[in-house]
Amino acid sequence: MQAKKKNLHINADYKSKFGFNVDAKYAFKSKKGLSEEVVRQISAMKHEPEWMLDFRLKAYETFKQKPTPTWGGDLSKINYDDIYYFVKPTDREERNWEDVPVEMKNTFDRLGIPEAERKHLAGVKAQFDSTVIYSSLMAELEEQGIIFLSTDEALQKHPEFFTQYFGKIIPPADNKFAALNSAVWSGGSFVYIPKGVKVKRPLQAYFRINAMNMGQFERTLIIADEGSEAHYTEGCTSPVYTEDSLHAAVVEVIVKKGARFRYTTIQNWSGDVYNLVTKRARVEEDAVMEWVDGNLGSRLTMKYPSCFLVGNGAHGEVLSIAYGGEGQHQDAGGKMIHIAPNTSSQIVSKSISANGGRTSYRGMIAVTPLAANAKSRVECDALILDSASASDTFPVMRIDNSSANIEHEATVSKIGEEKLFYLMSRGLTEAEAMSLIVSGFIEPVVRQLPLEYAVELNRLIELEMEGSVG
Amino acid sequence: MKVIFVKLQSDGVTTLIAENALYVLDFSGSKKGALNLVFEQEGVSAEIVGLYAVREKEHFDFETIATHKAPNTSCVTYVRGVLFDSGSSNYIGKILIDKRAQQTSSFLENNVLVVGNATHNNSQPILQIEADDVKASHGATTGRIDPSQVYYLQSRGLNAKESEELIVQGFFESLLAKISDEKIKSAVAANLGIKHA
Repeated sequence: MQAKKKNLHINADYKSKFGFNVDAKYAFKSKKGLSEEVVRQISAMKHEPEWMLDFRLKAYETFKQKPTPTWGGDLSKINYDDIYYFVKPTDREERNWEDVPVEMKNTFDRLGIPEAERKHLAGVKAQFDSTVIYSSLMAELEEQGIIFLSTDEALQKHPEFFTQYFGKIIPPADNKFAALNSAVWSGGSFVYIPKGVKVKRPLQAYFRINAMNMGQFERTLIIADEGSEAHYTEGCTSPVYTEDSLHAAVVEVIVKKGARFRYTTIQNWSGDVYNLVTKRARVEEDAVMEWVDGNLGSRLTMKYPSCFLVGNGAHGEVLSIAYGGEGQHQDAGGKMIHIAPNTSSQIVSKSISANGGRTSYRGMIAVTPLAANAKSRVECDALILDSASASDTFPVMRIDNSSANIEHEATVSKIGEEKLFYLMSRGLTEAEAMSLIVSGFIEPVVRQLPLEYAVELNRLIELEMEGSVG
Repeated sequence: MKVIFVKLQSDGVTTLIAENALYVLDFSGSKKGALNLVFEQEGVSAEIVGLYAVREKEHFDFETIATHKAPNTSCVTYVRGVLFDSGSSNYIGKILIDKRAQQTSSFLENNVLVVGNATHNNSQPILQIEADDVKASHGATTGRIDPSQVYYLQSRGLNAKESEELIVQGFFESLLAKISDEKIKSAVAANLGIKHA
């Protein structure tokens, strides 16, 4: 059967939908490009302790020395000299909604998140450019002893956590972009969940990038103390720029004995953003860490959330959805490093490529000699929607223990003609049928999302597919 | 089906144009090397079978590549290995499907059975797919010999070593059965150090 040319565009009309760029008043904007002076300036602006300045300067040296990775996607077009490394919209952090500048309120309105809904959610933190300007914490969170602040604010108020954990899970020398982030980081969230505290509602952060050529280098540090439980979510819809923009975040999570933590990200970057993120969790005895990761948009995403399973019985999971549309390359996956006995892990990855997009699954399962009785299961499925698109699978399984039980499976296919035919024979249009099949394909991951994210993601995919197929 | 015995070359890639045949890897010489099976003719259907047993301190390091360049081709790759004490293996199994190779199906199955201790195994099944009207998948497992199976056989009067041998034999049997050429089948079984039916 002759495959009909499917003209499917997710994010094709991004500009009209999300592509606005309101004029924000910046209190401070560093000059373009990266130098020791810029790094010093950032640290000085934030009144940071001396050790953090040293940390940044060392990381800057590491960044200069580290070569650009030659695997993954094409990173050669990033121009580090054409990026603002620090932009501060207003002078102080806003806590009351009334104090938030009008342009920024408009931005949030355009995103369709009413204030009422935000109040309803526990502790919304919205990142407008490099500094968290809006943060509201519900009283009940504070009563439980939970700390949920911007990373900058937390460094001032709770330096003890930083000397102990900051940069310990992901040292600056880990990779070039972790080094860059370590040198110029700004914003991001700090979360501390005390021992035994169970947070029922997700902690939410909403990110925006809003200046031309502005890099976003947020830094997130999360500590889930013994026996605690929490869920952190973040989502992005960034406006369209004409020039390339760089997003290089670092997320460090420590899940202590018996704790359970889930980190959910849905990112929908505009088509010119390089999204190069390092995410890693240290998972201690009998603790559980889950990464739920949705990647839409961007020119190139390279992101492989990892779990270092360091305690007996630790468990790690990655659930990943990627959508690669026109001119996009999603290079995503996950890494599980089994270091202690009786550890287990699972990676489920679903990717869709369309309109010349490319999706790659890149993953690693490593079982060290000390990790007796490790179990791991990896499943990655890819859908290719048209002949211009492509998909890759690059898993590595390095098993240095004789008692391990490791499974990996991957499939690549198109939407089955027989499935389309069946649905169309039941009265659905081709677009509706395709949309339904795609929804079903990603459903195992979507059902793990908080309701509003699941609705948003499903709606986005449905809207984009309707009327553009045929 | 025609059976072709392919000797690995430790110093490079053995490239063959695929025909309707079963390609069996011959590890009797080199335990290192690569086979690149290139599908250039429309409609060709082939299979690759690689069976190996890694005895004490041995190291296997090889790669299979199914390169699909023509439409309507199909390939199934089966790679099975057993690791005895301190054995190590490194296997890369690639499926490459070119833009021109529509209506292709290509599958790869890689199973490693761990019998000994202090073993190392590296598996990298890779898919690179440029065409959309294709079916491609791979599955890879690394797992220890099932102690309940060993226990069962011991309860029937076999000792531990005999039980393991029987399980290893069973692990290879279904793929050995695919090799219709008796001479090649015997050579593979001898190289694996197992009896075969």
